[in-house]
Amino acid sequence: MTTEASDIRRVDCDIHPIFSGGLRDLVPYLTDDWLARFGMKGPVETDQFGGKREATVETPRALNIFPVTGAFRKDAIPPGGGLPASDPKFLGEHHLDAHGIDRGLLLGQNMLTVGSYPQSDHAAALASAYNDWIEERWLEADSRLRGTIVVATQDPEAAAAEVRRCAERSDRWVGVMLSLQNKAMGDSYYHPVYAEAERQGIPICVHISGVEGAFPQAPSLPAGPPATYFEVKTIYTTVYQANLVSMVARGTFERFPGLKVAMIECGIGWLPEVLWRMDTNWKALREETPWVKKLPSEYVYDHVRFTSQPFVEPPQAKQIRDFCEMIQVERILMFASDYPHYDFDDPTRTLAQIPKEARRAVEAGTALEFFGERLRNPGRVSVGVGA
Amino acid sequence: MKERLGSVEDFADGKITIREVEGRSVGIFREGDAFSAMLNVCPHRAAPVCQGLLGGTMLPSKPGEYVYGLEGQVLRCPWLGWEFDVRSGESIGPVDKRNLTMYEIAVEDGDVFVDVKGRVTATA
Repeated sequence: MTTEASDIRRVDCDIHPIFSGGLRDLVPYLTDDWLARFGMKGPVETDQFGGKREATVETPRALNIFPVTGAFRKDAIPPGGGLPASDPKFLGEHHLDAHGIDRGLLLGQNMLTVGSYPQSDHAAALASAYNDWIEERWLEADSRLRGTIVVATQDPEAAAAEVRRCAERSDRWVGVMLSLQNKAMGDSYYHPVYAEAERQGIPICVHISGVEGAFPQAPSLPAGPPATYFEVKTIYTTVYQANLVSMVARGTFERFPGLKVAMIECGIGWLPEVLWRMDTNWKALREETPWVKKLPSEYVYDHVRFTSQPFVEPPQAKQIRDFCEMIQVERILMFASDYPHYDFDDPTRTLAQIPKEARRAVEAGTALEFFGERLRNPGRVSVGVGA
Repeated sequence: MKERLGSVEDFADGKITIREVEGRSVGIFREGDAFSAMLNVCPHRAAPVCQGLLGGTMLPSKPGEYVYGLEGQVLRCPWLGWEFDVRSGESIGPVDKRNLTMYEIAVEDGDVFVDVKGRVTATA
């Protein structure tokens, strides 16, 4: 079925596909050598805590800090059992069909933390296998879904090569899922990835990992280690504020004029303060960064987009309208649900809160423009995945 | 208008059974001979609240203390975890004042009847 751009009325910029059998889902996509190295050739073993262990590597997770509600919507468990968002068919029905979503961006749940593996070669091997898995299990299953290429930034050149490999193989890949190191996004360290993303014309997508502050190589959190998930969930947005400011200050968008960045689930309530503060400070401190040639906020509007979830929840509804005006919502915000997470935003309910004149932009228009042809067109899935 | 939903035995004890009544999704909670009926919509974000977990909760306590209570009485929304008394529909704790919408439910001669026009507790 061909879908014309005008038929795409609703885009969800944050959906999390999940392994059904842990890392073992990647077995068909890893070489025998890697399977041996990862301890994935034999049976699933019991670890020292009595849990099941699919491999001798684990996905980096901060298990001591976790939502008391559980991370997933309890009503998103497939009828036959298993984890939420582990079955493309059920996800299609329960989420895409039910909410009239014509395009959905996948941000690989199990690889959000791939940047925190201490071994760069392990991380790169898993990222590549994961991208093959996404293509075969998800992108081939539902033509509404689009992928974001998982890259392990421990080795930026290898990450750039992975971007090239996927982007040139299939145009169902619409972005790069950048897993951060404890280095600001404005650091030259990431330049090889930015250069390749710019060359391919696909945005860099950055998403909270949930391990901010939990591993030495993960982005630090302010004020030291948090004690509760409530703290993490409230303050992790500061990591992305700092990253945004670093890209403007260090001239990332002057070096890569075609670079686009999507900040997904990075918070939005902080935008007025950070944008206004950057503009004020630049006016006084411009000589420090002479390559910044226009208002810092204009770089943001020209290159960066944010996703709506979790949407702001001020005490009075009218304050949402003021907020939308402050951030020029029609220029900068794209709808996202975060399915199947517990803090899911229902599109109908969220979009009803956006001022009417900006609603279509948030619902689909801004995302279609930002992600371009690869999001709009039906797209081809590559032949011979895993080859 | 009362609608017969079945006999008492059709409802598992200590659980919520979800039924469609006059176009509405309604959760029926049975605790022995006692029943409660609630609209399967969370007042916060309209999530299907009856698909949440039944259990207890942490009661307000001093800093550093945990006091767990109300076991079996608390329905926790499957999305953002808002908590309600499964018998009365009242919001539990200081999070929000909005309650569940509850309906009149009665057992007559071993049969369970619900009236979705008869609201017991209106959403605040």
